[in-house]
Amino acid sequence: QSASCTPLKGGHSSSCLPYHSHHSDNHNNPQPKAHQDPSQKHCTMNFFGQKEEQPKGPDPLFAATTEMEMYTDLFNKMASTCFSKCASQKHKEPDLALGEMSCTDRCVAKYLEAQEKVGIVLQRANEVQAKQAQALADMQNAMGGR
Amino acid sequence: MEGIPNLPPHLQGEFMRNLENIQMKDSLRLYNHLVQACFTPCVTSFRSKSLDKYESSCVEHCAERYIKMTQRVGLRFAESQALQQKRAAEAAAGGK
Repeated sequence: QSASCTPLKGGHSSSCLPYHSHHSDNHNNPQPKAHQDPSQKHCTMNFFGQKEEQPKGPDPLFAATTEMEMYTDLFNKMASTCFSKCASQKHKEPDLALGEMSCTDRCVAKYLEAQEKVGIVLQRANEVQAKQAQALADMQNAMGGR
Repeated sequence: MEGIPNLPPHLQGEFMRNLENIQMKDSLRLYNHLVQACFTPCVTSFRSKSLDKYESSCVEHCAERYIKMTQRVGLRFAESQALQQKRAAEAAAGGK
């Protein structure tokens, strides 16, 4: 009754991904973090009735697709890492031992926490870089204006 | 169901098709990865052309264990995401 992960089922692609719509024990669709809304393109009219330019930003469909790919990649790497760290390589039994199962739970929790922390570091680095780029641009503008 | 990324409705159909493509690619990728992940620990000698019974059962067990582990990881991942969503929703509601 458990969801099959074999890719060879004719036609229908099943997967072990938690957000697959056919996953049998998927009671809560995991939702990507809400803080990254792809920018919505829309035409606005300003006060004088002239059309303003569409806000530039990543194409929302591409952003959404890329985000899904990111989650897929995260899931695959997490499963592979936890398997190599937690499952004994002897493979004598077809089932996971109790210790391996609790190891898996902890591995997932730690992996996601590590992902969060790395995300924060990356974000900070991006901000610093953006500030530096802005400062450089300002300086060039000031010199170019003379 | 998957209206997660706040896409306008006319793009959601295309997004679902993209999602299916991603999942199909991922299924095939999983297959190859699983073969490699199970071959490496189980098959160590090359005295014969075919797998002996120990290697054969090792490979089968390994594949089953990997899939069970993947399901468990998926479960915990989904729980963690749901918890995060709940916290975000509470924070948003509390902030208003």
